[in-house]
Amino acid sequence: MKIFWPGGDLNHRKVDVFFGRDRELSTLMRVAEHAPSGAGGCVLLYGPPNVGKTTLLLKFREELLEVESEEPRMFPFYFSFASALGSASRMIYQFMGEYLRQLLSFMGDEVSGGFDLDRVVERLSSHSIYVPVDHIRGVEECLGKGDAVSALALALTLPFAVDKPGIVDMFLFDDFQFSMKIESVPDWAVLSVLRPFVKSGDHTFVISGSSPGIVMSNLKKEGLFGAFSLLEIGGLRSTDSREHLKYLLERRKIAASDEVIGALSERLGGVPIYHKLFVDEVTFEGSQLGDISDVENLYAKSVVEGRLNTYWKEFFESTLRKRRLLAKGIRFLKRVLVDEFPIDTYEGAVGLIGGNQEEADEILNSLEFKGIIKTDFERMSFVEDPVLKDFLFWAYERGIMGRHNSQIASQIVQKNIFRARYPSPEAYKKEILETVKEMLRRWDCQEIPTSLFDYVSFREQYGLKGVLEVLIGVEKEKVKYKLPKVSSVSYGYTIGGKLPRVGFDVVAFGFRNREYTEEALVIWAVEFVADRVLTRKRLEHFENRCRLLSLEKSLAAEQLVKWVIFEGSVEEDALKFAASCGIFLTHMKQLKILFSVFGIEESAPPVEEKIRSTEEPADKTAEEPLEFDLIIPMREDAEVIAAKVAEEISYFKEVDKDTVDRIKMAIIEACINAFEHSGAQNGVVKLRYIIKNDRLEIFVSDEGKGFAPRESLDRKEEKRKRGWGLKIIRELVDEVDVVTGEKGTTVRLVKFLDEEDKVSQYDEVSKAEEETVGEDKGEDS
Amino acid sequence: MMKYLKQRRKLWGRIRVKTLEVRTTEKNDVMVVYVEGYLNSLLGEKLEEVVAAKLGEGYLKFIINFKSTRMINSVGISIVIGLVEAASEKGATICFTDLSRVNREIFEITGLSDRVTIFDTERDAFEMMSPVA
Repeated sequence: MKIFWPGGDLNHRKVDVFFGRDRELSTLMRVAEHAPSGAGGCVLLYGPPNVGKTTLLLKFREELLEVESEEPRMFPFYFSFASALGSASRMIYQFMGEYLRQLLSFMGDEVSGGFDLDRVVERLSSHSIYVPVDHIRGVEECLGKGDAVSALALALTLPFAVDKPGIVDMFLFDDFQFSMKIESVPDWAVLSVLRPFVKSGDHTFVISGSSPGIVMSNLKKEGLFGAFSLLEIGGLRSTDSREHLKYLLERRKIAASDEVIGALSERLGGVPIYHKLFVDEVTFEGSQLGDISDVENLYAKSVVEGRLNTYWKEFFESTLRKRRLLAKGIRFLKRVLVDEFPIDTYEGAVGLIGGNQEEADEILNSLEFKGIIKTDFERMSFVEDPVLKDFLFWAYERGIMGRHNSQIASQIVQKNIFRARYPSPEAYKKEILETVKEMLRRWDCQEIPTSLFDYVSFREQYGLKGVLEVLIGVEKEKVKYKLPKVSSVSYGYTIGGKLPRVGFDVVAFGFRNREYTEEALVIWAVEFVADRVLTRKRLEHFENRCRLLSLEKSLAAEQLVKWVIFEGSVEEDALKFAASCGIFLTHMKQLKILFSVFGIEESAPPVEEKIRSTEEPADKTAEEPLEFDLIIPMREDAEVIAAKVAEEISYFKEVDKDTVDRIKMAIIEACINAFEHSGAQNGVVKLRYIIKNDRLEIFVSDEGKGFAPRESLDRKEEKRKRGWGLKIIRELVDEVDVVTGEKGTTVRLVKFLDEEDKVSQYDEVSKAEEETVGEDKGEDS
Repeated sequence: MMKYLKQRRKLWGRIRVKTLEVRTTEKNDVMVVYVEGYLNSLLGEKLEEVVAAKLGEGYLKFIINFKSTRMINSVGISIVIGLVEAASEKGATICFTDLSRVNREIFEITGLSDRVTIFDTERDAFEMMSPVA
């Protein structure tokens, strides 16, 4: 009998690089030590996809082959259930073929060319290993009759039927979750067949997979769970991770300091696959890793549109193939992993996903199958992965992986991330100060962790940590600063009289311990510095003004609190100066935490002053509106960009295709009107997109000379067949307001998003995708 | 991050609108015209030129297929109105087919749908224009 298959799963799976799994490897080696005597036991390796489980298993196999032992000799048989891609007959033949081929190879022999069973059996017999050929014929017969389960049972028991004196099998089964996804075979079948062999305790099984929940639940069903020891494989430990990165960078001849490697390792969470993807990207882009900011830049780029992005995008698109489920799955994971919703039960997860139970089950099962979720019967936990978190943030902000125009979508996200949404630095500063004022008004003798006013100690403690991590840390701090009871807050304070006129951004008057006396009076002078670098010079200027204020008000030193909030980096010299003068320094990162302590969120950017929706949202618990700004040049076809952005952001609300088309057309017409009639000197049109629960609002503004809107066409237009713009707009959207004057024109378009509008497109896509999935089923891995 | 923002700006400059195209095929004296892309002034003028040339060659039956017309603007519409008028003056018949829902709405708003017959598919239009075939 001749079986044709590429053969030799191991031929192309050599372990060239092995870093930092020494502890796990030695655990496995300890198990192996007792295997020949039949006391090895069984191990379940689990961890997220591509974390290095297969490499560990293959390395383990290599190590075992190196061991020189007396009889009985240990034969490590490696088999990946993913290689059969779900087909029962393929899996069966591959299993038997792989076993016999590896056994022959173990005996120091091999058969070249296609796999010829008779030849392999003959060669094995020359090594005194006897294969029961009838056993294999039985497999063929069962398959011929369509009895896949019996065929599978015979195939899986072949190793136990082969007569091989002095040799003990050790089974290394990889991607074991796929053993539960074989067509025409129940998901418990493989474990059920292996059950007596596991139960006997005479054989050693090391099974690996990214789906511990599914595997565990089936082990429990078969009563085998107790027989397995669990070994979780996560990211590499810090030192190993750095070593691995160093090796990859050196191999590509990319220079990087230890500091840079350390920062990169932290960013990538020690996951080997990310290391590889990132280093590939650095090479491909021809980038340098000169300092930490290079790492941050490239990392951000990679997560937003590079290889790290592609890695997770492909993962989610292949895991949750229906668009609707993809959107829900991303939103769910974002809430759990990024926003840290405390979910540890299955019911909780279903509730958080929302919608019907069936969809939630499908999402949770798919994520579990791919190793993102670890479920047990009682509890549920999620993979810890910093890159995944950043990706989820991006995917969510982008509108749940909306299709088309990734460049535009990235632009929108970047705008949000980097605050370019504010029309000018002044507007941004104004917004921050407004929020600071609001917070000051809430000060009422609370005790606040001192590190929030002390940048140096904050940096030392929380340097590279994320906001949530810092929040938790700050809450636990013991050293507190007692705030005053603030009685009034004002924008700035101008010192007049005989002294030079100087001012501050915000000044707050308060009293210590709510004692309304002259002695207890305290003034907070607040300055916001949006510069890239906070310099000593800037602080000196601030300090001088504070001295003037103290003089004028005859304040004792402890009665004036000097507080500088800054956004960029800070000169070391400035830090020393601040310490010597007792100036409180707070970075924006600290300020955000302060805001959250007082239950304040940063203000949304200002909407066009002239027109603003006056209606209050019906539901106050409804989601905050999302806002995006876009500026387009007044040039041919630029209006298409504005329309595409509308399409992109409409994915936030699952708007149907026709509604999206209507909105796009209306925007196109509003932009063309601005291009043709505004005569704006700055040559740009500004758009603001506001997505609310029930509507999409778009403001299209120019700084032109204004115009007089008309409902009918004039004679000239009639002749040119032109002048349809406004009429078309009014027909396509639900509300149109035009405010026009000498300083420009703003057109406000509103499209209400009825429930009816929010359906079909996704169902259509899902249907189409289901068909595709059906066709591609075999390739799912 | 500034460096990255600069890179993004470069990408922004690279966004281009898909190629605009007008293709024609002839079936039993009926000239089928396919309008592909964003129907703006550029594509509108192209369409106008093609139809004028075919009118010059003596064709009097036109099917304009908008299946691949992703968007239309009012400038493009005005050109199409002019084109329909010019064709009517020469005694030609024009049908539109495969319009998206929104494009059809726009043709209704501008009154174009009163001047031409609109069919769901090219085949329907063809059966009307060339019943023998």
